[in-house]
Amino acid sequence: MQTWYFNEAAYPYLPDESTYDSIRVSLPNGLYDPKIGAALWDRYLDEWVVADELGLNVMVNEHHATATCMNPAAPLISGILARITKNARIVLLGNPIANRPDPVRVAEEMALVDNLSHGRLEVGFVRSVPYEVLPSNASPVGMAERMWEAHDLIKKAWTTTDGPFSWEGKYFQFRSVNIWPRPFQQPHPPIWMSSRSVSGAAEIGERGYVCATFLGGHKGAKVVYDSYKARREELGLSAPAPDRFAYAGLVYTGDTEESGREGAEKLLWYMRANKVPIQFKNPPGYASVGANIGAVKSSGPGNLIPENTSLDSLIEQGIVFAGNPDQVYEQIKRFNDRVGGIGHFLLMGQSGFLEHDETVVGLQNYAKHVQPRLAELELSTVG
Amino acid sequence: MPARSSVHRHTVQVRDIPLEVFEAGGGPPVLFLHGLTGAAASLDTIQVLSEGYHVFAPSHPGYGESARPAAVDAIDDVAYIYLDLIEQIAAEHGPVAVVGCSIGAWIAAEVAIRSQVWISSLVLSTPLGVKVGGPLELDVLDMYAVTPKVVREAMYADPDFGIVDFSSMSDEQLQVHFRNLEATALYGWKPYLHNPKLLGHLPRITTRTLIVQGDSDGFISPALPAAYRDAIAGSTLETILHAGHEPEREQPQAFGSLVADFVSRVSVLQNS
Repeated sequence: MQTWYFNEAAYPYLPDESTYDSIRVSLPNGLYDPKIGAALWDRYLDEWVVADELGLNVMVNEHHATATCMNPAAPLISGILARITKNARIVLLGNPIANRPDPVRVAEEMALVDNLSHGRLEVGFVRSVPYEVLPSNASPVGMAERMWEAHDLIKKAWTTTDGPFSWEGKYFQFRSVNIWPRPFQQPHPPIWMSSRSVSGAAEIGERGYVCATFLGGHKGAKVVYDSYKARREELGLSAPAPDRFAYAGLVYTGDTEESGREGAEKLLWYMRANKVPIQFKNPPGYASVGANIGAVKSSGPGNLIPENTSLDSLIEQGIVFAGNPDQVYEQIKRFNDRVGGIGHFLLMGQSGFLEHDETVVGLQNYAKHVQPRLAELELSTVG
Repeated sequence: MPARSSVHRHTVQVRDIPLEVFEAGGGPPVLFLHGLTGAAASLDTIQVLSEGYHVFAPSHPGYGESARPAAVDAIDDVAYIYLDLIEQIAAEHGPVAVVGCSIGAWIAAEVAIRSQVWISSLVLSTPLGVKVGGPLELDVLDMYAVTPKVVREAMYADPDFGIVDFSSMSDEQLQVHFRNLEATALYGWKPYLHNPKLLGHLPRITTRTLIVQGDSDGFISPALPAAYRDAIAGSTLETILHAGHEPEREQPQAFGSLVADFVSRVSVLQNS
């Protein structure tokens, strides 16, 4: 199992939650202090370098109009990481290609970063979360179809080497597509996609990409992976190896159980600082009519963040992994067993007010005591 | 005064597209094009209008229980479908009075700029569809950026009128509710509930036209109905009291009387 260090680049220095309506979409950026933010960026980039030096891979993502993630341009940060890291593979998970108006530009950005990193880039494509439709003004209706057309165009742009082609699709029209540079990796960088749903995972399974799922716990993740496997079986395709599956959890590895739990408590800012009103959570058309009816009949509109955010419950669910190195290893191993094996563990190791030194200690403990055992775990899983 | 007739719900094929149509009454034909809350929410209005007219009230493609083929994804597609429906109705019943509300008024205007051959008169109530303010002036409340409560308060003279109680709704009603929301987002996401070119084409409309607004409509700027009035020669603008963005639902009797009087006056003028 490989590990990818992930930091969502939060800006946590906000006034009391009662003073604003939403941490996403509508939070005025007057609350952002550029001096503090720039210093945080120095720090977060340094932490990705620490992860690289510790032998881990790295992951970046992007969100828009939110204090939970100061990175609205993941290709840009990936380009920086391409130069300041040495060995880490870099996954950008992901490019919100249902929202970006210019897939050819995405193909160019990714090809460029692949060259800058000498072939260390892995490219994620995501449909993106509902909060993103207002900042991007991308219609929440037909997102999946739009995402797949963008994906097809990007792949075609990466792999066409004999001069320009034209693309006249339903959503995108381009003439003279002829990207320079083309990707460093041939025919193109590995592709990842994320999903929380049965139908989404099945489509990823059909194509054999790495399927990542975030913070869904072992129950949610298993449903996603099983759907991927079932679709491949249905189509008579090869059974996927664990390296087709990735999972993101919040992780803090302390020297002791106590310090591990203390660190994890700080990471829970990510779960708890998530005040978002209904209109941003469920724009019409984002979820299917059937899913909306189901939500009305159960617990209301689907929440991306679990309701019970006590540390013990989150550890039990497989959303947080925390404690001393043995405990963290055992928790990840248990997760791996419960979901049927994963090849990629996305370690969200910084959030909220977890300071630089604390973040680094958590990473060091993990890299020194947990990762080597996980590498062996994969060998035993594959058999 | 004729008794209110019952409303008959059935399916009408327009080309190959099955549309749900609520039909009631008898007399000259009226095509009623519903607003954002769908045709089934306007049954009172349909009944009031049916006292003197033969009312046809389709659910727009994607709304209610009307189909929406994948190729139908913009307001002009809907307008062309309704041009065909109007021809179908006119072939049997003669020229049709077209009454559109909100998004239905936008559709009616898109229909009329294309062909008015079979349209006898036109009513555009709280019409969406045009843009008059500058880039930083929203003519229509951004309902996707505010809470449902803010939308209700803007949309109705009595905000409680707009409360949707999921617990009292059947699966079919829930399905209609969420289909309606999705269809509005599909047709109206970007540009937001308007066609930047429509205003320039409105002077093509020569049919007798009544514009209606609610005195408490906080959902659209009063500049929208005024723009329609100014662009359509000979049109008049009437205001319904104690009504927001859906006068046809909040004040069905007043709305129905206003529309019926207008349609009958136009008819008298045309026959004299």
